[in-house]
Formats: sequence, C-alpha cells, structure tokens
Amino acid sequence: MPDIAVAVAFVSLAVAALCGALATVLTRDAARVSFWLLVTMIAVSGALLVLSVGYVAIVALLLLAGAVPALMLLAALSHSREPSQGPRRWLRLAVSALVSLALGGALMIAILQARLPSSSPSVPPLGLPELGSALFTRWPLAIIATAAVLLTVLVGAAGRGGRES
Amino acid sequence: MTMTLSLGLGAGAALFCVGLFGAMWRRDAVGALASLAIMAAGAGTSLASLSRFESAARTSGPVMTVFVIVVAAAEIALGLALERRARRPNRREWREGNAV
Repeated sequence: MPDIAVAVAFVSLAVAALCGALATVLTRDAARVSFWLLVTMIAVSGALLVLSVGYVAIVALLLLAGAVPALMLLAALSHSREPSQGPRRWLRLAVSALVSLALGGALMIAILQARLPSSSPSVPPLGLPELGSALFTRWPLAIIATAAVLLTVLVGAAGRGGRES
Repeated sequence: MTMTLSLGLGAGAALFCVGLFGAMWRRDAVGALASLAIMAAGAGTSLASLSRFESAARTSGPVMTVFVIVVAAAEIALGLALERRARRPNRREWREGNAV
C-alpha cells in the first residue's frame, strides 16, 4: 500500500475515532453511549489494522468493539436513569476540560518538539508467529501477572457481591 | 502527506485526553467506564504506532497493546458487574418491599 494511502486512511480513521469519542463522552443517554463507543472502537481497530498490527486489531475488535458495548447496552437496559450531576456540575465540567486540555497541550508540545523519525517506516511488520513466540517466551511473567490480577478481581467481586446479598 | 510517528502518537494522545475528560466529568458508571475504554484505546494506538516506527518496540509494542486491551475490557466488565450488584436491593429490603 502506498505511504500516502496509509496516511490518508489513518487520518480518516483517527478523525472518526475522535468524533465518536467526543459523542460518547457528551451523550447523556446510556444506550447511545454504547452505540458511539462501538463506532469509536471500530475506527480504532481500523487504525490498528492500518498500522500493520492485524492481530492486535482483531483483539481490539473482539474485546473493545464487541464485548464492551454489548455489556454497556445490557447495563443501560437494566437501568437507564442517569444520576443527577449535582449542584457543582459546571465547576466539574470546567475542571475536567481544563485538566484534559492542559494534558493534551503538554503531550502535543512534547510530540512536536521530540526528534521523532519523520520518514516512512523501515521496521518490518510483526507476524503472528513472532508475536505468539514473544508472548510466551519473553513475557511469560506478564501473562501470569495479568491472569493473577484478573483472578483476584473476579474473586473479590464475587466475595463482595455475596456479602451484600 | 506521509505516515509519521508524530501522527500516530498525536492521535493516541488526543483519544486519551478525550477519555480523561469523560472519566472526570461523567458521574454515571456507563459513561465513566466508556471513557476508560477510550483512554485504553488511545494508549493502544500510541503503542502500535511506536512498534511500526521504532525497531526497539517492534515486538513489545503489540504485546503491551494486547495487555492494555485485555485488562481494560476485564476492568470494564468488573466495574459494570459491581455497579449492577450495588444497585440491586438486598434480601432484607426485598422482603420489606414485598411484605404488604
């Protein structure tokens, strides 16, 4: 694929993801939040595919674009009433916007001032056998730690739910 | 117009900041957890961009992206389950509600 086509595809998908993310954050209806999150995650998966990490794109498509919006839709159907924003709504909105803009500005300045490679990539894309081999040879401890964390939170949630009921 | 590392990192940073705004502003669990998913997607985009342009991150970038996505999805599922459990009336409240 020519480099300009890759750039145009990535920019289009990134703009779509950003618009979807803004709609997700600003929409108040919980069912529509799951729809806009689905749009965002499909665009992010497409951007990952353009970046030549196909396996990661499939994982993102299955988990972030498949499972998470479905769970959120189920949660939205069970109770659609949003808690009230409280008396300090505008103060919280201003503080959130200020912190996000400050962090975003700092990150953009750091990215623009860093000496990053500006040419087309010379790194060959990672194949699936290489990724699988790296997962289970170079990072086995990370896989075990992730499994332990997931098991711990699962047991914790079950224990807490049992005490509450 | 060419694909550069700055473009990928900028897109990831923008997604992360939008998610941060939502996580700080929203009070409902669905909105806050959706914002956390957007933050994780931004981090994953940046890591995948690094793996495409930096030979040192060729393997570690996709691996870390997979870990970020898996942990974010599990965290969201757990958060929604806990929120649903917290809203459910307990046994005594249910009995008192149906006593009449």
